[in-house]
Amino acid sequence: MDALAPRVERAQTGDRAAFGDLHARFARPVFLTLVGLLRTREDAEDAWQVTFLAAWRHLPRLRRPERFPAWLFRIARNAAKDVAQRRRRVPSALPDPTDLVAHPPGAPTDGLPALVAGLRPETRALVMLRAVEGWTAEDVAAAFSWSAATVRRRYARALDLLRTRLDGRNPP
Amino acid sequence: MTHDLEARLRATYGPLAADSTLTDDLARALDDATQAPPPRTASRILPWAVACAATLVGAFLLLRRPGPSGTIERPAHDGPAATAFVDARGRTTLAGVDGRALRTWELGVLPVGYAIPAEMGEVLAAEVAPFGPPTDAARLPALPDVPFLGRLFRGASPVALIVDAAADAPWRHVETVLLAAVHARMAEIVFLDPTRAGPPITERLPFDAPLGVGEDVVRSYERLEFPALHVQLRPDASGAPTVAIVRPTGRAEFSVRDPLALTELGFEIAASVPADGGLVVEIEVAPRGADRADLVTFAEVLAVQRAVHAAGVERVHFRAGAGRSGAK
Repeated sequence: MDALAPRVERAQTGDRAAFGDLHARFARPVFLTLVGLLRTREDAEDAWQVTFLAAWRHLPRLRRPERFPAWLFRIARNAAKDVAQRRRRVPSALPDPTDLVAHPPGAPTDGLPALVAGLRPETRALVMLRAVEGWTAEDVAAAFSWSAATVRRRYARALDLLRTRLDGRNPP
Repeated sequence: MTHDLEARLRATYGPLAADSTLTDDLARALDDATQAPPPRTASRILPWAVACAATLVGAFLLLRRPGPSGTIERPAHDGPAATAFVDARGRTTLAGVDGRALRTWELGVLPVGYAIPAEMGEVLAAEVAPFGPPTDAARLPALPDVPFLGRLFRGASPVALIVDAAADAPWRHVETVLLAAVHARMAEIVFLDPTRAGPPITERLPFDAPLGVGEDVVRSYERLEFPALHVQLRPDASGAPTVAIVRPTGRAEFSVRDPLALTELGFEIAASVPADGGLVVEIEVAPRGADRADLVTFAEVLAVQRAVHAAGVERVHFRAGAGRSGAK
């Protein structure tokens, strides 16, 4: 998260190119977080668009530019909450083909996605950023407003859980 | 193992990305969207300014120390001789009888959180009256303790306290309120007759002496230059309250419930008053070591108090009984 603040400050004054840089940097992490929280492509993309539009509109009101990641991910999580409340899906026994967590396109059928889908939404989002996007514990901590120790502990627990369940499914 | 699992997760979810057409849509939407104006300096400062102003106003109200507001003629009606009332602005006034005039003391607007003194006359009655029967010791903790009440009174900066207690309220409870008044450095205590048949009794506290709660109360009385006559109230073996004048030469006992005996008590005290009239009578309820102290009621102490004043003694002080001067 180096030298974010100058770019955020430029974007606050209406510099679209600077905001484009920020978008390029955070578009995928935010999308993966929203997938972790909402699971379906449709919902994640809705919340993703809302997040960046809201961030652009309200960026001048951000008082501490160095806290941009925390601020952006807070918007994303609120957007996810709004989308989830609006949808209010009826639970179904049938598999949802648009569920990107349980049925990621092109993924091997080794049972791992089903186990990830069974994690809590915030843990799924954490796994997406740490394992898939390769963010450090400090980066995730800054984005989620947690401590780095909390991120490490929750991530380790999530991996342990997945490993235990995988071993249960595929005994040696 | 961990790296293996992380690699599998990366392989499974790595290809996920937002649809490229969606990115284009977002870019177009961003082009059309305008940014909100930055917050004005005033909107940042305003909440702090309001908070500072509220603090200053609160401090001003707390630091204001209203004094006596003068003397007015006693109204012609036969209403209560002394009372406390709250006007529409939340200003509390204590009123007490002083000779033929009704003296009033404005207590000022009370800060939020000190609602009890705002209704002082009534609340004291409520605090003192409902406790009983006298031996119901289990209820005692419900009575606020001396430091608590003292702080409560001091918050209102009152100059006098009106004690409106039920006739059968244990004196121990009334005493708690009196000690709190001393704690709050009030100048006067006005006792209302629970039967409303007699005039209120006003006692002036020795403001010139260092006052406090507990032993200091007793010591401050002992520093007075006037000779003091020590009077004890305690229940006898049958539970009936007995008043005794305690002198180095011996004790003289009288029954409190017998009007004739109280008259004799008055004569006995009158005989002790020196020529210059300077005599203090110390009334002590349940002296050290006595039990069943709760059997002595407010009405019985008030009867002795009247007898003392009728004998020409102007100053009566209440001496705290053992172990009852502090918090209960």
